[in-house]
Amino acid sequence: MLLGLLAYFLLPLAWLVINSTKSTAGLFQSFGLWFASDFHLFENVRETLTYQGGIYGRWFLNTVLYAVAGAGGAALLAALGGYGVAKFDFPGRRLLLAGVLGAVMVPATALAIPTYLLLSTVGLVDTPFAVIIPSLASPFGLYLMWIYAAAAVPDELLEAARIDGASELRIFWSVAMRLLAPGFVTVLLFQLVHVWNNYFLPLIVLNNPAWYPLTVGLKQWNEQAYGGGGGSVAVLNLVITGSLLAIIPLIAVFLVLQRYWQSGLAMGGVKQ
Amino acid sequence: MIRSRSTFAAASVALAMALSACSGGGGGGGAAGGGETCDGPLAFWTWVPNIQSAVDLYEQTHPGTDIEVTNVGQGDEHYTQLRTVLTAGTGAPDAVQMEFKNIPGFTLTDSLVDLSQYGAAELENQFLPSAWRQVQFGGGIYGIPQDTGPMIMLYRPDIFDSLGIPVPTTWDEYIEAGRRIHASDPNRFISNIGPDDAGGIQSLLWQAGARPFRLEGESSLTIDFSDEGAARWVQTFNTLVSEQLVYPEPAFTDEWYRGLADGRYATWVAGAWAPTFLQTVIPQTEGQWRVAPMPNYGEPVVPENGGSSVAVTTQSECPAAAADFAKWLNADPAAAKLLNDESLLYPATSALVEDPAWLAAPMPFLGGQQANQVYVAASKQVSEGWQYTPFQDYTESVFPDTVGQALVNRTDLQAGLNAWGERLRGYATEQGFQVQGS
Repeated sequence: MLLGLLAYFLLPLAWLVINSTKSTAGLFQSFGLWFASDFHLFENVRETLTYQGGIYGRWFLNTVLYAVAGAGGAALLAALGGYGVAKFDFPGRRLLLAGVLGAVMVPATALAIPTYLLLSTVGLVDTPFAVIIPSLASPFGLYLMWIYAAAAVPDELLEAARIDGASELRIFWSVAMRLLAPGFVTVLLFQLVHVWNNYFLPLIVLNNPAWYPLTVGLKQWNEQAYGGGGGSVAVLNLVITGSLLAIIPLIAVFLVLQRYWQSGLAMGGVKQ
Repeated sequence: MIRSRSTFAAASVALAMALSACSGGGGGGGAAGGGETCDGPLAFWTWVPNIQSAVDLYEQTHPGTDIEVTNVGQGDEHYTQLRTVLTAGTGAPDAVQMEFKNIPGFTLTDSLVDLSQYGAAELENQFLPSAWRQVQFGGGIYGIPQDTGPMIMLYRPDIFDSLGIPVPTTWDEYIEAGRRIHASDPNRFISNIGPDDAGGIQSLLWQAGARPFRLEGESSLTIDFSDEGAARWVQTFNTLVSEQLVYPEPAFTDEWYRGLADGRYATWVAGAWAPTFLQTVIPQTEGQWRVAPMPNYGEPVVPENGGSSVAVTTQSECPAAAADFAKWLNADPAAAKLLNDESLLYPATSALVEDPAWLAAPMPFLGGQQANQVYVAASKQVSEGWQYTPFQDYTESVFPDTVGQALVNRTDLQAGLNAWGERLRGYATEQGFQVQGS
């Protein structure tokens, strides 16, 4: 049973790794879950990185920029907001809760055209900001940090800090942020994956391939390979290799950050 | 392997966009025709590989012009982005690649400029009639044809020879050949049939004489699958599908390519673009394929499958310059030759299809066959009167749930067509069309 589940999740990954070692011809001549006679991986990587004047590298850097700036900013804003809502009493908190939860429910697709219009009014279409700014708002992240801050930051600590004469900002940075670290990393990780894989927003707000992230770029190559609308180029091997290269950083980030994440999950499980 | 050499515009060059105000409906202004020069580059959105060389030639032969080619994606990606910028009222390109089947939809939303006012009508005799008919809509000319797709049949002579079957010329012979091929090996079929291939089935309906979609004026729309032509297609394909002579597998997937490469499928009926397309995805089958006229119902009637044009958007501030570029790119003999050589497009210009050298060119992928002659013969037999719906995206998106289901479950195809028509009529009514048909 467990093995079956594992296979279900790992098979696509195995397929991707195996087929990255094949040329386009090899893809159609060999069994999908085993290697072809020729080992084409390094050739594929070289071609992926040089095709169309090395645009893949640029897409890669764009994606890193969007993910780091978008996810880092979103996690920080979520931490600030969540802490503020959890620890300060002000009128309209309930309304805010309803608003945030409502925002989680709105599909991004429905906001595509309004987002484009907003961005084009302020002249940001076709710039990196068009992807980064919308990524900064993470209603789910705010909600998560709110719940987390309410549980992880004791009021007594804050009161002690206030009696010692620390400013509110100082308290947030030096006291609350340390306690919030696991939650912060969780939101960072979620948002990082979300921005890294985001397809629809960049598709709508970017028309210049030089600013594409990997998702939109690879989809473009894939359409090219399958001749959507006529005119095809044999780049299937590049699409597959490009996809493999695109998930490596995500796996690395996950492995590096997961210990914070796990401690975050277990936290609050025991009543002290 | 074809290497695409298109160089993308440098990132530092921001697209020249009019951010200040909407310039919607600019189609009426400046009908000077071809003479105006505009400040700033003309934006051209296209997915055609290696089209840059033809564009470079335009810039060389027309000093002072500057065309900025952007590939915003292909197929759905392209139209999604185009619709967004059109809806937003800003950011649309001046010239845009537009498949024939999408012209009605974009024309009805007033997104494309009628090129008649820029002298497009004078080009009519330079293009194949079958291509020219597809860029006209409601009395206007909304694109300059670039490539066409008269349907032909790709087949594997080795399979037919080994079984001693003649290459089918009619659909009845095709059914007979299908029976013998499938009897020889239960894992072999005369062809696949895509449960998601709305485009291919529409072409087959077109050939059978069905005319299910008719738009009169701007709002009176007939959607009806009960004509004689539809019945003819249903009769033939009910037999092919129910006897499992064709296998219901989507085309353009890894599985399908593999099937074509290892002899699981003996034929593929598709547009004239198909052989060069196969050449790029399964080059190892070089020499194993030939082309022949597609099977028919006794009369040599051919439909179109695919093909596109270059259109000018109503958002363009220089429609005359954009129209000038679109006309030259597709009608100029040198440009048409470049597009055929480098982008492997099947041409739409009469001059090129009458060129003796081009007609005699042997195709290595087809074992040296002079295939262009087969394509030209097909394009002369394209029948008239077919129309697409004004919402082709939706039309093709509900195909898999209706006709596609009938293909997969091997149930009556007429019922599948009727279900499709039902869905389309409902949608058309919601969109505000006066709908007829049953």
